[in-house]
Amino acid sequence: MTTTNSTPPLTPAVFHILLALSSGERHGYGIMKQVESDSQGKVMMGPGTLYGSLKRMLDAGLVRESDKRVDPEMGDERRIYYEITGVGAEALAAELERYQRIVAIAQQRKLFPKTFSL
Amino acid sequence: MNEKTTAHALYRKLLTLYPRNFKEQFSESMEQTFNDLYNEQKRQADRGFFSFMFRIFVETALGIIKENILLLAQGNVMKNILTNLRSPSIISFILVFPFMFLELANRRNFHEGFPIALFGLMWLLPVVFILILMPMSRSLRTGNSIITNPIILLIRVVFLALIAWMWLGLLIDQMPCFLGVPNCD
Repeated sequence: MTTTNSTPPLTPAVFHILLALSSGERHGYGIMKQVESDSQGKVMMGPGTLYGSLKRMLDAGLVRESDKRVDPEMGDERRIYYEITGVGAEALAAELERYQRIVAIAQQRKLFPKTFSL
Repeated sequence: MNEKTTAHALYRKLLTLYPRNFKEQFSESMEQTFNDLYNEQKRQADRGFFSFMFRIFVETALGIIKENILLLAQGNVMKNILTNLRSPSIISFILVFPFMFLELANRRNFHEGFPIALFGLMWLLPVVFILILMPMSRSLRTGNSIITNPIILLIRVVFLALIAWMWLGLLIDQMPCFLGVPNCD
């Protein structure tokens, strides 16, 4: 499948991580909890998926590490926080636009069940 | 050792299977995240604790497999192999070159084809010899003992002796040809 958009589609894990970081920087566990909350508990990301995705996102410049610091709610361990970059925000916006277009098509074709109609 | 310590020790062991760069960058954060998940699970209830542990370990193991496959696909391992092969290849070529020169110089009037297979073998044997020797010399350089596993050491020494014997045998056998003796075989 090809896309005409300059930003390639994101994997579900990358999309959820960017969405979680769009509201502020978070450490690994914080990202997991935000993803769980954003998806109403439907997406439960494990450490293997999270850090594998973060590695590729760091390489691609979608996120960056901020200084290590203590999370006052989590104890006295210093943690690495991750924040979304400009490139990451653009990629997220492009993905959301893609979703919006798909939803519009689905609405046009009356694909939504009555209970979910927007 | 209590349950928490055991779980952490096992998870830490599992993380050592990640590729080196990945491990250096993320293993500390992954341990912290595992710790957070463990504490959360314990706070909620002991029910489903083993299925939770199983899920985390399997998910991390799949991540390890994925990262190692990606590393292989990137060609880093291949690059290391090629880098390791470069020095033995050059050393071996330097060793064989004088005999190639003798062959070309002394047999140019015999109208025979150049013995590529012979020189290929004469080049390959020292390459294998150096490749077997390299881990031993690396251990010695880093101050480690080379007799931690005597059986492997014995196998290596036998192979080294065999290769050296084959190479010297080949050289002695072919020396008259290199020196330009007519009708040599």
